[in-house]
Amino acid sequence: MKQRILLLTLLTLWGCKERPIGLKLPYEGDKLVLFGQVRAGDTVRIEVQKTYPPTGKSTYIDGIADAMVKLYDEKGFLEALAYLGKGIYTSASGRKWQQGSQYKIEVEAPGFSLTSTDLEMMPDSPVVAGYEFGRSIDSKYNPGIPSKELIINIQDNTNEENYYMVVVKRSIGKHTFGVNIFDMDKPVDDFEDPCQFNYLSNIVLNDLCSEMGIITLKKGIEIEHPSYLDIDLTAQDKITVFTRQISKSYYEFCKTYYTEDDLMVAFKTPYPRYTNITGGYGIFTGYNEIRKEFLLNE
Amino acid sequence: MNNWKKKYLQAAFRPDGPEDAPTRRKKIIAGQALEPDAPGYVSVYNFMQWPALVITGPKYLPGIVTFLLLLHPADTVAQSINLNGYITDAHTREAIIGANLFREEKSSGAVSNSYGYFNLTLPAGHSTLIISCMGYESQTLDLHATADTTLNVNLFPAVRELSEVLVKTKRTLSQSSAGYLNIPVNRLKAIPILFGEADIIKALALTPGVTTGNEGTTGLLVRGGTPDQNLILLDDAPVYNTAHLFGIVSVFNTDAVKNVEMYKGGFPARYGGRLSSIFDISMKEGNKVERKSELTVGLVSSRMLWEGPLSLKDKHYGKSSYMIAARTSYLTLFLLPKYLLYKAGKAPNYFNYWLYDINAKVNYQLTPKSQVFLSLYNGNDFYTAQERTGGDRGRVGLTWGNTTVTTRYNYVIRPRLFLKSILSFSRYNYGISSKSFEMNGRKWEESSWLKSSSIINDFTNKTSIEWFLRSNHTLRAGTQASLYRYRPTSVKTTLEIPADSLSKISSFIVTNEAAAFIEYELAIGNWLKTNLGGRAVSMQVNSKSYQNLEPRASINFILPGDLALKGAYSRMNQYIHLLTSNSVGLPNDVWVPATETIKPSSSEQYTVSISKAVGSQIEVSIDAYDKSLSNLIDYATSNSFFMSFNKSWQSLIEQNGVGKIRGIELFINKTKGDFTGWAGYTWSKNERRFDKIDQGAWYASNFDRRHVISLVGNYTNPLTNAAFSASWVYQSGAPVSMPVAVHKQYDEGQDIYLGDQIFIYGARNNVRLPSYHRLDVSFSFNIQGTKRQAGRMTLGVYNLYNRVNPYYLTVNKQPYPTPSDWEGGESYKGFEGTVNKVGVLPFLPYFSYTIKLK
Repeated sequence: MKQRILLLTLLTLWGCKERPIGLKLPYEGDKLVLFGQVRAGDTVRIEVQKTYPPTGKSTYIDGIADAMVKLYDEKGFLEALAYLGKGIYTSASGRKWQQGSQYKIEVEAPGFSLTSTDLEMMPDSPVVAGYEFGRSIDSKYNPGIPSKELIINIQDNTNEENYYMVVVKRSIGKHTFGVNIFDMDKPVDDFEDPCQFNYLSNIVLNDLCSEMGIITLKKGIEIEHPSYLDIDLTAQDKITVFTRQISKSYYEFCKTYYTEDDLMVAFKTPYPRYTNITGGYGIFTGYNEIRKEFLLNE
Repeated sequence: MNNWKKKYLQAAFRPDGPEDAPTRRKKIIAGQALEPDAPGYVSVYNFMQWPALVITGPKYLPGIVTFLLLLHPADTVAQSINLNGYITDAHTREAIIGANLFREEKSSGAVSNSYGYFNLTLPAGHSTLIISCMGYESQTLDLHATADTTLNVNLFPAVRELSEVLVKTKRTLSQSSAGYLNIPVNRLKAIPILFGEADIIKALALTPGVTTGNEGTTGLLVRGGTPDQNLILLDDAPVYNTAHLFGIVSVFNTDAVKNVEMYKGGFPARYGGRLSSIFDISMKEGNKVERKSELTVGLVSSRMLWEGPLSLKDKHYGKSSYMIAARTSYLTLFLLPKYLLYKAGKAPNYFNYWLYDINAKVNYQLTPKSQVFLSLYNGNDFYTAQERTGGDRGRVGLTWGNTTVTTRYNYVIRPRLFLKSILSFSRYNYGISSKSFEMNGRKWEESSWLKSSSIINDFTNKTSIEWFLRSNHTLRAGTQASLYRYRPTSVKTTLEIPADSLSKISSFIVTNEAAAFIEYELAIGNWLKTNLGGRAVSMQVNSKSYQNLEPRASINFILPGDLALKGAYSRMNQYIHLLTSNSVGLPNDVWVPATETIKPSSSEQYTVSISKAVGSQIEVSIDAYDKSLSNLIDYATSNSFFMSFNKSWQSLIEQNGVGKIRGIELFINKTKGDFTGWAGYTWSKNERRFDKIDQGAWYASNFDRRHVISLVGNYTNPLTNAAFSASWVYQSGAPVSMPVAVHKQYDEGQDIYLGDQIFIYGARNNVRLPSYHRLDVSFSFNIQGTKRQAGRMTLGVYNLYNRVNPYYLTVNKQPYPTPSDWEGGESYKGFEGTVNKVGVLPFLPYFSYTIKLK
């Protein structure tokens, strides 16, 4: 809504003029960036990168290769992770993230200050009470594009604060790609929904709108594929729905993805993105997921 | 009372000398019967149907303030008489606010209050009085009075400001408190403003210490405060949102405004409830002599003004008047073609906008000693947008507006004792609605909707007395009781949101405020003037109550050479907060009260000032201030009210913020002559600190501007009345939050370009925008009309030299190589970041045309 208001203001104010200015933004120096959105049951793995100045020309490095990356759980040190390449460190012993356990990472690298994560809990698996998929509908945003209705009922534990994420992918033969998703239960998209928001192309939910312990998600999915892919239309075609239970830090990380631009920037102070990294940036957070496939074409 | 002898005298001072005579000197002998239009003396003007009252009788006992009177020279206590009455405009008979009565022999005097009433103690016998007011021709009166006298004075509007009012100029400047500013509305109206919509709020933003946030908006920032910290009173009723058209136009129709008083510091104890400023705006009362109307056609809106006596019958003539000022926009006309295209299915969307406001006021003089007023303001903005997407239609509506109603009753209990009682109601509401429609057969049917609204209702009673104890001794005291009903938000929807969540957020919050104040205005000799006082406030919300004492003091030392040294101290508390994420006052900001857990915010301000009248036409003042703010609130990171309405708003905010603001202001004001204008300069530093923002570090507040310069000038040709106005403003850049670093976008399982740049934001407001400057000009001239109408055209240009002033900065990040150059399975190798500034208000010409109907 605010964007709409500001757009109107902008139109009313005749128009914008944009000019470059030779302003070099202050840079606080290189810091480590840790990134680990990890799934319970996967092998321990984390990526170590660095920051770059916001102005001027920068060339990415291929990750921090000479770091000492230590893994801890709530009881203490577990192991030092081995370098795999492209800034990725993994467990040499094949250790997996255990559901219900808490982990912490500590990183030391030459030229950088000591960087560490908070203790992060690996959540339990979500419980889906039921799926409904298949009713053919028209796309809300692209008339004429065939779409399917998807309804997911997530069983919520009402005794605790829970957060969820739903990811939908389509696979045709060897190709897997994202799909356009639209709301079936909201009038228009202007309102910020108190129960859910989109992060990249995923749907992130809290448990506000659970009724009798059930969170119901109603979406429309466009059955369309990117034209640049060489698709074999005779191959198996399926929709895969990933339902994740995510930690609160994961939810906060998604929620603080700052996307304001244009005129909105003048009216809203950008906020720092949530991070649970001390001495650097990034995120270390866990999730647990279940998947459900719906075949569109055998 | 029963032994009071009543005699009647009505004196209107009509100039009978040549137009440019340096002095208008009249003689009045109280108690004598005066002949109407007696040549060389006074004109008896029977506009009120009864002559003015001359009252003689027992003197007041000074009562509990006797000890204060001991400070006063004995000769004025003994054998003194009391002179009281009203000062009014000779043409319209409207009360003149802030007119000065100055006794030449002893350099003592009085100022008319907001109803034009004055009271002055004089020695019995002969006195010479100079009566003056900005924008009016001054009068000198030789008065011989041996008994208490009531004298109603009419002043004639000045065609040209004459230089003989030097004495008055010096007095006004030296005696006004530090932080006080009163610029005649006619001067404010002449300042060129965006789209030619004369706007007192934006004009005041060109004075030192006052700015607006984003360019073109009406949210005033006074001495580093935020828009919600301004108490804006329209005929004593608070106005909660001053924005029309998202702030491009203020809600105050200049046709309806008579007087604007602004306090940036040194707040008198009669005002309270906000931290940073007071704007006391008085509506016109209307012409008591003849009925008139006026039409103004502008680029954004048109206005109509009607005024005149309520009745032309002898019994009521001169006792009453009405004023109605209405304004409406006609953007709808410009947007109509798009609407028709949409209806015909040839446009995917359209929007519509409409605003209006009405000011109305009536007053009636019940008796020579009592008068009643009724004022009304109602204004609303409506925005609607519809869009069509396939088989669906969506409609979004936004509306907001203010309503104020004020009834006021004045009674002169005794010549020295003036009572006013006010009952006011103020309401601010906004609503957002969203609906979607589906085609059912051949009909569009509503499929789902959501409506959200926010309301604040404010009922207030203020009763006060103004007691003119002796010459230069005035006591003001009063009480205020307010009842507030807030509904921060109310949501109704077809969405599946649990009913208990909806009812929780839609409930009303009721708070009560009771306040008592006392002010003692005391002048000692010709060298000292003080206003000492305090305000005690109790606020109740649910089971929690807050009690605060607010001491106030201002002191002026008047030195030889027209020099005055001034100081002021104010402590203020604010029991209402504005939840805003932008600091500019968008309509969907939400007013909420202090609660059990959210404390009232408070401020403490020290001001020192030095002022001097230079010659007869120029006033110079330098103010320095130090203001501290505490218990401020702000949204916690990434929270907005609507997004999180499942939670109590109290859990979404950062509390216990503090602010410190320091500044120096220079104001050179040329008030008279064919050329008027001012030059202002402000240096200030404005910082905030919250425990959870930037780890508790101090940061530059939004819109903190280190240097602000404003130059405003108006030249009026005395022969043709053509006027040329120009204003130039310079502001050093405001702080903004910009990224401190960049990192690569990671693979989060998305189909996005890997290696895209993600900004990392660090400390708040870490970068300054480039400086801002702009020149606006306008030219107004009369157009010869008929006997029954006269026209005036105004042509102007906003941003004459087309400066691209930065509204915001954007970081342009150019990644490389572009995806089309990828050889497959690659990601970006790097990027180049540059900063652009974006301006939104370029060179904008405008016009307006005013027709006065007779």
